[in-house]
Amino acid sequence: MISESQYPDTDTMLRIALDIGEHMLIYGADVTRVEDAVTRICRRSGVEHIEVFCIASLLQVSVRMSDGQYAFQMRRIHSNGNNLARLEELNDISRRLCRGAISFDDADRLVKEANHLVPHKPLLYYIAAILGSSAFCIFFGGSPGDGLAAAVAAVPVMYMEMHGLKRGNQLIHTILEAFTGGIIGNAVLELGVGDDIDLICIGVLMLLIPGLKFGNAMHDFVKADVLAGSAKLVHALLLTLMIVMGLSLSMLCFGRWTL
Amino acid sequence: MKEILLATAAGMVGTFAFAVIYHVKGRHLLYTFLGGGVTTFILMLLLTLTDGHALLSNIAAAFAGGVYCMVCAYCRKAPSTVFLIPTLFPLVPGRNLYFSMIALVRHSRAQFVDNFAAAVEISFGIAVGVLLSSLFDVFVLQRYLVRRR
Repeated sequence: MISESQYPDTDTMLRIALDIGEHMLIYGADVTRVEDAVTRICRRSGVEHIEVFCIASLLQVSVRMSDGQYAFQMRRIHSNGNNLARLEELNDISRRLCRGAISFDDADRLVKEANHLVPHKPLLYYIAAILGSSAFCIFFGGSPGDGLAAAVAAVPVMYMEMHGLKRGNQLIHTILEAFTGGIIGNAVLELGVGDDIDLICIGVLMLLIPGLKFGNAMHDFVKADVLAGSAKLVHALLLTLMIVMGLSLSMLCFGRWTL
Repeated sequence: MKEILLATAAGMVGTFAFAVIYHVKGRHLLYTFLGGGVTTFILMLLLTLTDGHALLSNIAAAFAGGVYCMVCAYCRKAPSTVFLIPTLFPLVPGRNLYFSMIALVRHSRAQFVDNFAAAVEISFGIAVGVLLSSLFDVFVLQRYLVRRR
């Protein structure tokens, strides 16, 4: 249990709270969970009044301490993804910090460790991509041959996902991934494996599709959080359009679609 | 029934695979695998029983999946998001989004409107189902499951 004398200064406390919140957002937490985690951490540190504002691309916190001092920090979020192992670690760190089980220095160190956590070996991700794309191809009505073609096309897409651009334009990256998946899917179909290019493409695009972002946008609308919902919806539609552009370009190369 | 079971098996394998891709820790993978089975089975069963009523089927499947994930979160001491994201993955309207955007690129407005409306309907169903399951969490699980500890 940490004592009040071990509380850091306001700026350090806010930095660590925002580090946790920022990375939770990057790794797939919804905005409500992030706002809740940051609020709890700040309240635990003697904050008298707190305002947290979070959307998918921005996190900002303003606090007033019990001595009347004000502080404000913000973070611009450049990428969102899903890393649920790291999210679980960060959630655990924030809870332990709020319970007083760890100090802010410990939390700072643990956040850095959590940001490097990789729960599985690289080979397992490729096996998962093969299983996932073929399973969803069959789930949406594809034949076993379509599933096999989708599985082959999933491997280079997964490679690009794992070794792709960490920074840069996500939309261009998505077009390239979809185009590569489409080219391989079409090539495998040309070799006589599979029957329906659309179902093969659907299997591959499940690796890329922001379907959950679409669902989360609706969830935000239902909760009357129109700003967060609109941002997610537009982003999801843009990404889906980029995926289809990439796949359509690959079909154009194989003469399956004409302008 | 054979089609429902085949789709459920495909949904379970797909959920397991996407749980790995989303970096779910190894100790939770079995629970996401079973969660995929719960949502897919209920979705396919209700789609058959209601003659393809996508909204109702998705609300019920997302609600059942959501409740399953909340129970898993309490039992496994992990955030519900860890279970919820992979478990709801079989409900994602990937097929409709794909065909709506294909129609947009190919200037087929009627097909675009049909598929996009279906994608919105399914997504809305998922959102309402998850919202209902979070109400169930607040009014039932937190009252009985957590208080007993």
